[in-house]
Amino acid sequence: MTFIPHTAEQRARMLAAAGAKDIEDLLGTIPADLRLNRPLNVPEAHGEAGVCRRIHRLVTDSQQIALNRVFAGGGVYPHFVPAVVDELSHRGEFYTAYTPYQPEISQGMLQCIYEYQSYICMLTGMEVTNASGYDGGTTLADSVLMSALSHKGKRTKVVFAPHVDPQAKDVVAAYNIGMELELVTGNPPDGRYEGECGLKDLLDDNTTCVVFQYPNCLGYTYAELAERIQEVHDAGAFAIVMYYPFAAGMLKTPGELGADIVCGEAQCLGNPMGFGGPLLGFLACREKLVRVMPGRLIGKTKCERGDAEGEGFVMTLQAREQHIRRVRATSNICSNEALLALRTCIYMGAIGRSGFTQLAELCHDNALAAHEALTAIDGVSDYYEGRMFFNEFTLLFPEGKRDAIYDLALERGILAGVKPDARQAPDLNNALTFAFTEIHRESDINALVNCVKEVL
Amino acid sequence: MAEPTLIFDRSQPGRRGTQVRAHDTKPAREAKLPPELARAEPLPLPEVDEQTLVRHYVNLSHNNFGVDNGFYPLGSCTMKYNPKATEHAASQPGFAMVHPTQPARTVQGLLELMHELQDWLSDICGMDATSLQPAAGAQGEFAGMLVFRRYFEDRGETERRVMIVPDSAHGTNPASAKLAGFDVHEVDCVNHGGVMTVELLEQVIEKHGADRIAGIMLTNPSTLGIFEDNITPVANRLHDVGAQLYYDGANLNALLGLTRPGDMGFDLVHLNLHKTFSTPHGGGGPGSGPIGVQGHLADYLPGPLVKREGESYDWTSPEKSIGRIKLYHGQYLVLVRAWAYILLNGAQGLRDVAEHAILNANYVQARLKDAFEIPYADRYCMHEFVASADSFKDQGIRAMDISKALLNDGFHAPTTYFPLIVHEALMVEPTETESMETLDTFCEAMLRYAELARTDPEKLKALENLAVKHLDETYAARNLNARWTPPEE
Repeated sequence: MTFIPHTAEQRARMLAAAGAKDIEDLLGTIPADLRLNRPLNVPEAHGEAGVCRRIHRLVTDSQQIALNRVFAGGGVYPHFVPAVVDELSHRGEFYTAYTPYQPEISQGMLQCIYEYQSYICMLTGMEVTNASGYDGGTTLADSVLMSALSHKGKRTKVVFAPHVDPQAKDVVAAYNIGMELELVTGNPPDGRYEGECGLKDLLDDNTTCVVFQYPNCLGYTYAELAERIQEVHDAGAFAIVMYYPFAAGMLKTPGELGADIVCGEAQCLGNPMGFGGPLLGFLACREKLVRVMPGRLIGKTKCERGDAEGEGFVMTLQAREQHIRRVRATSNICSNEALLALRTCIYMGAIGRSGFTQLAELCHDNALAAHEALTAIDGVSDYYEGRMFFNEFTLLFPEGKRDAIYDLALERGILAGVKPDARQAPDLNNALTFAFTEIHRESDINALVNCVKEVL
Repeated sequence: MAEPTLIFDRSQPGRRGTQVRAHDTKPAREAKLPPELARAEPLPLPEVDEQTLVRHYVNLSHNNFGVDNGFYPLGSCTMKYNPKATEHAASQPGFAMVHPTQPARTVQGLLELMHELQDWLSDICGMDATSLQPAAGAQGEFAGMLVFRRYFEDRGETERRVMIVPDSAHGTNPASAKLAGFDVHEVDCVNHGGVMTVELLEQVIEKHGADRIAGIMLTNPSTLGIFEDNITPVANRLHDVGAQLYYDGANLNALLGLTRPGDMGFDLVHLNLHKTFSTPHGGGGPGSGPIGVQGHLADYLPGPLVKREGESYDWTSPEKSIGRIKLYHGQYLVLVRAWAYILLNGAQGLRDVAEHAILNANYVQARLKDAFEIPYADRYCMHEFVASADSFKDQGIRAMDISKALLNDGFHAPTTYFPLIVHEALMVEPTETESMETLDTFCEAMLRYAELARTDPEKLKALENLAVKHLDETYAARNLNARWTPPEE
């Protein structure tokens, strides 16, 4: 009875008060033929020390790679998380609270989420954002659903630009089992450059939205994004941009480039990689789309503060949500990722205006340094020669060498990038996508470069 | 006017925050970015020092109420104590600092944990297989609906599109079924004592035809906190017509080790690890919503799952899987907490959880039943019960007034106005981790309110301890202000 405080004497008094002889008496409402007549098949109770022992063994059975030797991204990045983020987000008042449906005793969390919303709007260049979604994949599915809802089912085609994260597209495909939209991907011709992939030819008056990823899932920026978005608007469709928010330290926001809906993964802003979960999906849009936006939204309002008129925060526009609208809700989402949103809010405040720019510049600088050293090695080529990138890029290796490089690096405690999904193009079977953050130093990059040199 | 101070209001131009890299560390190279995309000005982020930041959020935390602050009898939400040992487990760098693309052969311990949890949850629910993928309860529901859909499509039964949902169900149920493309038939249980009966079922079957019924979404104990003992005939009737039964795991805390959804005839169940398995609610999330299925549905589960081959573990995805419903491998750090919670409790401990959740609810019900109307108080409840404030209506006191009075006195409110079956509903779920002393303090407050409602209703509404009150929700919706913007914008 690990977390049950009753003494035997109290239990007896409580049973008596409830009019029951014993606990079994209380359980009489469960039909006898439905009762489980054996113990559950789970281990016997471990004390805390026992649980720690097991954890120690599980962790030692796995290889732990130092954060500064992780060169992998793909939505989840090895950014440094300042201690102040862990410290403040571990306050019991925050993390053991329920959803702030009772605003009188939830102003702390409500204000934090309001601040989070302010940050996400700045980072995306959008006017409104929800209080978070599950991850970058599900918020992409939500974005597509928003677009279709906004067109009231009259436009049913969804076009993906090349190199939108295939895993996120898989999530859209699963959500689409219910939505039954037509999903189409623009294919880059020989030049393999999405700027010339004929997206315009795929647009028609049945197109509800076009999905871009910026920077794309191979890491490259997209100089013509604003022009492409204009073409989407000319066709009467919405431009959805899946986005890596750290890039806002150096790059224009999707909003500045004309996007209607911006979604993505904000693990990078103060959250641990956590073996891929929980992550922090964000979804922001133009204010005209707020009525079809899924998820919670915090707003400022009038209230009494002390004895004076004042302002406070509440959950607002709840009439979109499942607990009010049921079958006609804009989405089924209920729990979100509030605690991670809180962490992101603290993180953004901690690093602040100059810190955010500095860290973004160091990410970019590390990527430039590594790109220069790696592409100087014989046999290594840039997947998109001459294209620019923020902190991630993709390199091609000679046939059969990619896995040797990756495995040698692992032996040395280095995670040498992500193996890109070859459903996009078969030659990606010989490629690695590398990511760099402010955490990396010259010695880390050299260790990675040496692995490549040794194999080639 | 008294306004809350935002972090942006504490900013001073030129002030530096937390030093991740030394503040004077500069890039060594010239940036290479397309001029069309390069940012000219930094974003208008705040400029605060770390101590100012700490005080800002510590003081905000004082304006927030968690289970660590006090009693949280929020019905159907299972706001039990969140053990610190499970928090500690989840913050181990060996879990928290692992990139999700690390190959399976290098993270065997991490996969072993998932494999164990899959097995344990399957046994707890009486299911054959479990997927840990869904990110939250609602996503578990949605994934479950997609599993049903794929199952029927595979059998060529594409006409089975009617999903039966009691109108007493949580709002996510109909919303999830709709999102998966089902035609939702909401059954009026509210006017039939809040339970699903074979008679109600027959009406739906007759209306749509047996071949069009896909299934039903139910929870047991019902939203009234009553064990639905007619579940077996309901399950049998649905299986007779070829339909599937979905179990909403919101109320599983009452059943641990006592009975199992699988034994009641359910084909698929979703769990809320943030309820039954005590992972914290985080002020709204993250949750985790694994789904368990009977053997005939195992091929459709969302991947990846963890399989064991000899002594090693690997990822796998079932042959006809509905696919991937989120990035990577589920809410891993939430899974770690649930795994640790099960280990801390053990088999007998989990059964103790359910028994004491039921004891606590019955104790509070017994203490309140003379002062509040409690439908079905003549029988034992399970882990929660619904009281009504309807009898105070003539004095101008509504359920919300009782809830706000509780907030004023340092408690969280019960779930208010849900379920709709009961007028002026106050749904109370004490959970097993609350002591008799805490329950007594709560009961005494409730009895005092019942008395005040008759003698001095205005005093009950005074709310003198609440620093912030009467928040205008209508104003918020009509004058949307959902972000701070810099003064010059």
